[in-house]
Amino acid sequence: MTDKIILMADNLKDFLDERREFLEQAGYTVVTTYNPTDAGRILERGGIDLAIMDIRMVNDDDPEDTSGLELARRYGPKLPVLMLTGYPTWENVKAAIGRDLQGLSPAVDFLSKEEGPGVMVQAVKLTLDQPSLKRNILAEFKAESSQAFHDALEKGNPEETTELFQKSLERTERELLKHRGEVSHQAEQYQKIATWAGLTGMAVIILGALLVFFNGLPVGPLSAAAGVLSEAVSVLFIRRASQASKEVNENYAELQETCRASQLISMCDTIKGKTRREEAKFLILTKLAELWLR
Amino acid sequence: METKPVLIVCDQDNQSYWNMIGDEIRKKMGPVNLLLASQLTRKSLTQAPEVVVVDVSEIEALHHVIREIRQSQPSSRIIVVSSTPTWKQTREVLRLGASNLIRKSSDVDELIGELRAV
Repeated sequence: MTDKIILMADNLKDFLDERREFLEQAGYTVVTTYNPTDAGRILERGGIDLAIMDIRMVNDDDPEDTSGLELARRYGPKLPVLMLTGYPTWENVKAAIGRDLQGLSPAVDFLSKEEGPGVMVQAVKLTLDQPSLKRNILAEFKAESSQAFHDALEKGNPEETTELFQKSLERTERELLKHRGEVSHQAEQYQKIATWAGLTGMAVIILGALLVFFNGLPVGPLSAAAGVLSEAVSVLFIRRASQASKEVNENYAELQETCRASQLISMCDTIKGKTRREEAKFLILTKLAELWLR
Repeated sequence: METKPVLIVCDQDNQSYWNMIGDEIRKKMGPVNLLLASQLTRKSLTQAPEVVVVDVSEIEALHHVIREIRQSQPSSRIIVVSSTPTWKQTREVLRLGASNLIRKSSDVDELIGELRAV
């Protein structure tokens, strides 16, 4: 059981209750609400680590209803928000995770309800748990545990601490981008093999059928067996491609949070006055450390 | 007149379209450079454009372009242009690091308006 609290906001009670179970099974505490007003009230009160919001929180039949997006815009800067909708459109994706001139977006990710509860839970895990970043922060600070890291944070020089933290963010971003590239390439290779195996299987079956039909050759069972084998190979590689694609998506959520943190700290460079600048950076990193390393 | 440097990265197929649009963007937004996606290298990105417009139709090539730009010019805003955007395509390019995706428009002023807005 983690001590992370998630707010789920959706006007469809049955859907909400079903998805809540998946998150609770994953060890999270879940608070639910069925309307945007209550969701806003809960977020104002604080204590929520992540919010999952529907886009149409008032009327599912109204494409103009973007009440969930409005909440994401208001509270997105304060906590990670995942948009979860049954009506994905490219305009909604842009509105949710397109970046403004400061490089920030209202939400950290956009999910369709059709993608299933597994994808939702994975996105939550990677947004909140940040395994690669945690590992790199501990390595950069030469800390063996989260507690050791917090001790180092308390005793260290703020400017040096911020620099080490930024190094961990950059290192994590590089690693995740590289891993993502490798896995994407792998998914593509598997897909190609699956396609060729599938086409070969079909061709063998058709050829066998034609040979039997026109020439009466007794190759039917052999051809059918070879065709089925080819199709089985195709299915195997389709599954592998699908697994690799899942891994790419999982990588994304972690990468987004890392990039978001980097951008937040970089934005402090616009603050005039070195002392105020360093204080702001240090404040951000301590808040992030509380979220990821407690 | 704004003077944000703009880099356009496109396929060979739509190069003539972007040559024409590039002249209009130059008049209204400032310096514009055009680069074919097949010629994109880290060296060609040394001028640090503020905005990079990407119009590449092949998915893998598009992903490669976005990754290259993000890694060599992390502060540049990447705007992907698509004739028929889908929600999954939009999500994928934004996840890769593009700032936004806009629909390709035959109206040049509308396109420039979109570029300015983002």
